[in-house]
Amino acid sequence: MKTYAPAPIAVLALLVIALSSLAAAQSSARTATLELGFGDAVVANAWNPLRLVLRDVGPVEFELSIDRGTLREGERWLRYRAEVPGGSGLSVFEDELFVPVWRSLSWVVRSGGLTVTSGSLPRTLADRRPLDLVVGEPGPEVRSSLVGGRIVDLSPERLPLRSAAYDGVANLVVATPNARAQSVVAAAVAGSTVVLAPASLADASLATLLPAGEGSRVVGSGRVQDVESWMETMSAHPARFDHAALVSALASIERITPSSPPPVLPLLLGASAYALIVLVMLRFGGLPGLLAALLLALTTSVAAWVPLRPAQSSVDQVTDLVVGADGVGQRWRLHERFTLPARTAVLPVAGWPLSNVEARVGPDSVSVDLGRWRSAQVLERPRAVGMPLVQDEDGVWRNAGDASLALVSVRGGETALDVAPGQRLPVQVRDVGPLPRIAVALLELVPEGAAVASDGRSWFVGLPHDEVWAEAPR
Amino acid sequence: MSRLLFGLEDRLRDSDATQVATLVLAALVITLIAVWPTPGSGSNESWYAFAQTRSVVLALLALGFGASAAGEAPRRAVATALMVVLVALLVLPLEVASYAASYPATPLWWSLVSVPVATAGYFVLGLVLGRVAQSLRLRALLPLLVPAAVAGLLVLDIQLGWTVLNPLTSAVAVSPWHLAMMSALAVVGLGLASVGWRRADRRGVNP
Repeated sequence: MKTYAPAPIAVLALLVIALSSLAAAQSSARTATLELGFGDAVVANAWNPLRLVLRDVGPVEFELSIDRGTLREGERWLRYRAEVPGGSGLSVFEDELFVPVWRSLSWVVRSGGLTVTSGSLPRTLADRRPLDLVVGEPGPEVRSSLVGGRIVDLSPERLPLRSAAYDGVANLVVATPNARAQSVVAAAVAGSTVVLAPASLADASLATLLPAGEGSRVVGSGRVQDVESWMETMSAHPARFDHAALVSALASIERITPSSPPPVLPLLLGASAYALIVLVMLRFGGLPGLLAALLLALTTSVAAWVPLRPAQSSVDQVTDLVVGADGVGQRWRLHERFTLPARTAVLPVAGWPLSNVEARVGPDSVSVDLGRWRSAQVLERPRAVGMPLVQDEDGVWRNAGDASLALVSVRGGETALDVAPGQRLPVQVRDVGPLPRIAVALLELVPEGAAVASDGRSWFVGLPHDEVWAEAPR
Repeated sequence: MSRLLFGLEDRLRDSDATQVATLVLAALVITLIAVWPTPGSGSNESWYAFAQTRSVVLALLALGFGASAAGEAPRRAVATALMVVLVALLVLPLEVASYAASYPATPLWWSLVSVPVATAGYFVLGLVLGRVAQSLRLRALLPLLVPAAVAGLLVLDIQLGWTVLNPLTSAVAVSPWHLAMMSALAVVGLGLASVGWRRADRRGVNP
């Protein structure tokens, strides 16, 4: 009779299956999830929040690649790279990223040479329409009033704290007292219209955003409104103030201009005189003339170097544009680097190149390859800052800052120079002369009654209290 | 050493030396003025055009004089080589002027080093060319062979995808292989000159 003992191969097979199952279970637990935009709704040509959630994954390299080229120009890749420490448990990496209209957008998360996760967004999702964020349940009437945008429902804890994240948000409807006031203010400063439903006013910090008796208040470059006021005025107001036009004007006018080349006539005279003297020395000077010619070549080289050599191989320029009201505004900082020799320009800022160039971007740096005598403009991630230009209750503009404002000009009103801290307009009028080009360009883009000011380094656009933004020329 | 210098002094008194120095300096002054940017232009690219013109002109000069020196007495051939290198050194202020204003990424030392070394190297190549033409009884064709040699070196480098022999691309970018090749040729030339000089001394050819 033949007996069957447990075969060693069968035991080994069981062991392999068990180990494979364990490994599969572990690998499923180790995940990385990316959320770009709000609820995976991305606004093209705007700053979007980026949230990478890692679970039990060690140090990872996150790379997001965007091709914003054209059929004519070919591929233009921008790569965003970030090193995320990760580790055991849950770790979250958050940032804001400017997402242009893309031809291709994909990302990959790598850890130790292995790809943890990857994905892509199809080109058809490159939608420029702003978002309407709804937190809580405001009711069907409010929800049905949100037309023209894309509605995304969010939980209050998912509202970002930094104003840059709300660059592509038109309306933020808050219908819960659990939303953080800091997030709400950040959205308003960025230019969104924040609608506080009655349910949200149960929270004291949110309720203080709307003073008693006021249904609407301008905050930063946006506004905070109650539902009633919002329903009344929403037909008069556009979705949000068009700061992009202001930034574009600033970027096109405030450029570094390379110095003009030295005139050619002195060069011609100098070079001709040098050649003539050298030839005379060689022909008639004999051996001393030969040595003198060599010495003359050396001294002429030094003499030519000193006046012709530019003092610096690169020039940096930083210009700020602050758009806001009521003491707070959204700052758009424009960096420009002009380089004489071809080199890679690395700007230590969280930003995005304005021109259509290939670039490497990180959470705190932008790297662009520049050709000879070329410049790159990088727009730093917008952020909320203090605003020195304040409009008092009587509609008069005042310098509420610590430094003098070299120029203040009100659209449809007066222009003043050297407005001291605390001083109100109009000041002692004197001949102001022609306005700078950038001031003229900004005044053409702001609504009636808005003020444009400069302290010499930054430009401020103060939005009036009772403005009708829809009337501002686009 | 003093014999070398006096030999150079004698060589410079020859009319062809003055003519060539005048021609080279005039050509490069005109080049510098022609490639200098106008006031409205946004960038100064004058060095690139100037350096390439200078390099080709000096290569033609060195190859031509090297080829003609193949049949000369050693002392005169050495004096001719020194004269060509001297002319190359005397155009450096024009190069420095265009370099300073253009601000290229290529370092200045490349021009300062490569100009005399490459001129010496091309002179030795010219000697070889002259000897070959002499042995083939084609010396009458040297005015054609010299520019043809420059064009051939350029074509060869382009075909092989490197920058070793041609004067055009080596003028504006650092090329260690070009420097090594030209240095090697210059050293060979020095060796040949030394040997030829001593032999001539023994025979009493060198006055």
